[in-house]
Amino acid sequence: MNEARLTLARFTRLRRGWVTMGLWVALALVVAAMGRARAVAHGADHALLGVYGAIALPLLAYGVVAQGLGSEGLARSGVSLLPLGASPLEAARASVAVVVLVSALLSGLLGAAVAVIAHGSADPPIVADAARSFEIGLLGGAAYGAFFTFGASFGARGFGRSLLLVLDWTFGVGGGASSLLVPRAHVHNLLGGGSPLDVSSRGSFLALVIITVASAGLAVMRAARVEWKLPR
Amino acid sequence: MIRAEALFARSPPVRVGPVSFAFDAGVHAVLGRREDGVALLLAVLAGRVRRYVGTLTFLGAGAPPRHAVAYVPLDAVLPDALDVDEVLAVAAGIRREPARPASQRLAVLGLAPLTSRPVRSLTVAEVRAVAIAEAVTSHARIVLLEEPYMALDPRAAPHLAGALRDKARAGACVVVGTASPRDAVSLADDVLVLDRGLSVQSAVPVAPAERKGARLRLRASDPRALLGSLATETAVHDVAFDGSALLVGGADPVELAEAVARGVLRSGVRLDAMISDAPEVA
Repeated sequence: MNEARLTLARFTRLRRGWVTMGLWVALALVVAAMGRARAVAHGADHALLGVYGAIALPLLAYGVVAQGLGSEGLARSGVSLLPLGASPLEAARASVAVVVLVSALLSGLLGAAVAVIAHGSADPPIVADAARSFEIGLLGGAAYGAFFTFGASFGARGFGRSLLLVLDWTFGVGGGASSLLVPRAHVHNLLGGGSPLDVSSRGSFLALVIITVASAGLAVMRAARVEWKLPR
Repeated sequence: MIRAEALFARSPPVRVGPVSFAFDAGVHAVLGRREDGVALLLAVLAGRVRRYVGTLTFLGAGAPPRHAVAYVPLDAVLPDALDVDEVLAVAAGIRREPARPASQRLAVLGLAPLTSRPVRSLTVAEVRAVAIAEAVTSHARIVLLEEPYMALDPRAAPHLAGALRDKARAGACVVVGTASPRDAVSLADDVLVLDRGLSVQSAVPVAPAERKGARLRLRASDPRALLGSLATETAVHDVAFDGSALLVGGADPVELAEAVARGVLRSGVRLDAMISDAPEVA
């Protein structure tokens, strides 16, 4: 818990990343509001599958990871805790846990907000739709948070998270087997946009859980094993 | 408290060892440059470098609990999003120590005014000073400091030696890595000298009597020729060769330096370095 205070404080005290995250939130909400204004029958479906699932959710999670890690790589983000007695493993574990949690919560809340704002006459009942959207957003946000945190374990500044963002966009839109490895296709499936290789909703749900757990575990392992180098 | 037997570690381009030493409660110095392996040795002792050859035991066991070690490298950083008092609270939590007022802990190094400052508003010197204050006021049994006087806040410098002594008196093993012979001798009870990774002077106790008078460490192209040349100089009271450098002693620092200059001219050797080896000049 003590190790987690640094990552939490980066969210509550540092403003640099909130502008970018706010942009993606605003984009999703504005598009949802436009759907409501046009009285689109499946407004929530369109908003969730369109801007929210395809753009806002991954980029919000990307921003959350950058903010939580102080725009550093995963190992470097916790290096300031090492002189205080923390081990690299504990520091990385705390960072990953907080980032995944914040990403999940923000994504879930944004999903629910989009579902409520864009709710159309042909959408499911608003409360159930909001709850379902919150659930999918929660899981999608966690998966993206862990996925990008794993990316941030590559490179001193965590350039790997940008690489994974590109891979998610590249592979996630196709229907091939490679799309199963990235969160985008599964989030799309859960939001009702069609499944990769006819995977069921339950399959996509499980896949997102596996991506979350595997990415988080690999990220922590990699960060804990970074070797000391003589500083220049 | 720390025992090393034929310890060898490598982090290209630097290597250290094989070295053997035993550090018990007290203040110990490892003298040498980073290129000599001093920073690497401290990183090994801190558990930051896990791959090494040889035997290394802490407090009688294999590896020390992480919270029992306080390690302040030269490039130490503190959590950027926290205030200084929160940093100390987090450190106490990680080390499983009871919380104590941050101002009291910082006052040990004269840093009480920094208590409520955000870390990101601190200068590099203040960050180092706070990190060292945390280390010496923690309950850590092993304290490892790299170049404690380098880039240190001027408010903290006068208090440092006393704080390290107090920590050692409380039963801790304090290891200071430094390239400064003056700092090593003034802070430590004994000095382990590293030269290109090898120990050339193994934890030799520095008796108070040896700190008096002038002492110079000389690195020359042909130390043995210089040694022969200095044998005739009356200002040179004692000369020793430790395998890589000559250690010369005398009563008067000016006369000793002049004698060395004459010896260099007579022998025709190239003098690469002449370093004061004693902090106190009689």
